[in-house]
Amino acid sequence: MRKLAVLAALCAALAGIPGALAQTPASAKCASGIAAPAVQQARTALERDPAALEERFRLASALLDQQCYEEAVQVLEAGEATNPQNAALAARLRAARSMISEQRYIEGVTQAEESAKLQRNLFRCKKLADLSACDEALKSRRNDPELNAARADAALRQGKTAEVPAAPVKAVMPAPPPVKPRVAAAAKPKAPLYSNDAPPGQSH
Amino acid sequence: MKHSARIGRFAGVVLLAMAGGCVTRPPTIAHVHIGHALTGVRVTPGEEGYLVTAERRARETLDLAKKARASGDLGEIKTDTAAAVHATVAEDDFGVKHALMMAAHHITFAATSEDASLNVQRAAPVFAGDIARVLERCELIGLLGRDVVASASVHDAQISVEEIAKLADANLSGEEANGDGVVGSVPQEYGLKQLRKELEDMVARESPRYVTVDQWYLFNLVRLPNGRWVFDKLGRGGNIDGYK
Repeated sequence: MRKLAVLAALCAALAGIPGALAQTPASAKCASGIAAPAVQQARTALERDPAALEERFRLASALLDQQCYEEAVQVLEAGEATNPQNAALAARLRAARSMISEQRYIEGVTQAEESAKLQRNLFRCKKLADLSACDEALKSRRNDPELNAARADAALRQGKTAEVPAAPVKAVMPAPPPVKPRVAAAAKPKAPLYSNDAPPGQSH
Repeated sequence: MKHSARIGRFAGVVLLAMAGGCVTRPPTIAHVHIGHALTGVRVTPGEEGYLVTAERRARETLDLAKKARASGDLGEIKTDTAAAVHATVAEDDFGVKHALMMAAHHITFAATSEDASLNVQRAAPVFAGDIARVLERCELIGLLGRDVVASASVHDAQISVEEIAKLADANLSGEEANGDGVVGSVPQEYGLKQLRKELEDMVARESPRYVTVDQWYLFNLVRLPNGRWVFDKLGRGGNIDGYK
């Protein structure tokens, strides 16, 4: 059944169904440490009886339901010490590891599509002065000074001077680093290395 | 007397044949799935392995992109670029992207087989993630190729074709992007060359040893309704994802 789910997800990814791809942020949720009630309950039960394989399976299943595949594998691998050569454990480990494969695969496919679109727009903006490509790229990189400069350059090359901002790069440049410490240091009277006003008794 | 000598000779021949390795064990199901990526599978052109198909199609893409780059004729540039895009992203004709995805699927099948070694189980997720950069270049070749086909000037078309040729070359051999001076040193720089090495390294670690899977096993693996994979000794057939 799990394998069918893997296949279904892989097929959905191949067909470009967004719903199948919308599941990927789960890994971030797992990393945050916020556990679902089912996970918390199963974890508590396992902590009470760490040798109980059924409790371990329950925790792994709860983690898999939350798409926390790496964590599920860790829980199952920890059970191998007390249950070596257990066929049911081995089967669940295989299935959990395959879910990691699926997750990485789907993440890879999704990122490939998104990244390729951005790269295409960057390429056309910079190399071919394609203004619409510049604007598309800017949707996700609004504060990229190089891209803004390329957009301004593209507008100039297209003869659309009205679209060129007065200071395109400056306008989107991140704020300069604070100069306060330097100013403060400059204003602070320096202790003289040598002074005729040295307190009496000090020798040079 | 003559009869018993004949029996003796026959027994000797049988024993020699057995000692010589004529009696072989079938490969593991996991190794057959790996064989579909590396050696052969029924559904690809020429029944070659998925990775072999991906490599062949990547070479075709590069050749076509170079041809387009050398041409000064817009019609010719468009024709060659369209063919390069087809060799890269075609799904019904095993383009680079589809063939590589199928290779990754079969490595995952291998990892989920009951007889999969820990080595294969651990290598499969890595491989599934490491194909991403090649897929990304494939997508980009597709997008830039469509721009070339829609282009109105030789100059604009050639700028994009130059980039397509670079991407096609990187898909084959990898690229150097992080400044360490080594091509394909990290997965973000991988081409098919590095991905093949990754799979070859995986099979080199196998115990029992991986040996190239015989064609009969490659072409006669079927999946039963209960999900188990078996060899189709009785020729019952079936048609599951390229399997007989």
